[in-house]
Amino acid sequence: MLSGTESERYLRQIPLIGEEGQEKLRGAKILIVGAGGLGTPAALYLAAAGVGQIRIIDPDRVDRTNLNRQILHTEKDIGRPKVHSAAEKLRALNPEVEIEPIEDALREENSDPLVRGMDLLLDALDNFQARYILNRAAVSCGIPLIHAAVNGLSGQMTTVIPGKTPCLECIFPHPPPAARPPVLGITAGMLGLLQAGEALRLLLSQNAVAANRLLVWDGREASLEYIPMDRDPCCRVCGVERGSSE
Amino acid sequence: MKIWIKTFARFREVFGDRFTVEVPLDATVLQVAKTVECMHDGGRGMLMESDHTIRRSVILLRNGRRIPGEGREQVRLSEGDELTIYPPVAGG
Ligand SMILES: [Zn+2]
Repeated sequence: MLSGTESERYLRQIPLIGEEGQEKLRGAKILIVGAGGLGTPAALYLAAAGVGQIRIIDPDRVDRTNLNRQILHTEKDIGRPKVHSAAEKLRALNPEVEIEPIEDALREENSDPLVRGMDLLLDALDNFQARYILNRAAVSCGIPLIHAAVNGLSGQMTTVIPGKTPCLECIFPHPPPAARPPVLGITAGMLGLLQAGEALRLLLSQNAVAANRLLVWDGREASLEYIPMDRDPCCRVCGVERGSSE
Repeated sequence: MKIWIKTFARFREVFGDRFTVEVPLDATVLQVAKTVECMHDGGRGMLMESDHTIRRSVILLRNGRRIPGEGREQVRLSEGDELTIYPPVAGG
């Protein structure tokens, strides 16, 4: 049962997802890895939608160069840990949801305890080294993972359903060169919201739109295109034939 | 022979969305990639490494199917094939 304030808060979306759907969201636990350009818009809308538990992890502090796109942080947050700045805004927006900020980096040693028990993982990272760690944890714990990345005016998203769809290493066996690319705030915002939308679909048991394919956003022409992707049977992480020749 | 090229994102800005290139009969993926990179001065180094191999992170599809593995550069294309070139991004 939804409380009176919940029924009021979610009045305009309950016709779309039902009270049942709203209760599903309230019971959901999501881990957002990164409180930056992708993670802040995604977290903002997932909290607004009523996702019950949001764990958000990031080791960094806010600096002024973040503010063109990391939409939960403001001028007065400069120098604060990003996760605490983000948690404060998310709680102010929706006190019904539980926010768990973790000021740390995702590493090989802490990845399993961080993801275990979660219903869904959001890759809002800015480098492939950490993405591969998150991907391995997602596959080994069997938890769906929504990946996104951006550069300039364009971005990509894919959804990993362990055992069913290609994982990040199937799709990206070799990481793109590490760089600090230029990013327009709206590009990160678009991809973060596409991730939030995909998260809601999965939490509401609807079909993932970015499974088995790479969704590519091009902001110069406001276009979305899809590139089909297959599992790699020899994938180091999820391949069914991995290690069979050893 | 004629090969269709489809590109995305920053490659599209430099090379265009979808176009054809003219290559010798039975040309390999590597030959086609070199031809594409030479089409525009601004494209130099985007698709190819300095050792003249295709950047390993770049995703290639032939007629909508991924061309996998290390041997992908030597795959021979046929008249009318479409080669999709996608450069993954990493920022967040
Ligand atoms: Zn895989």
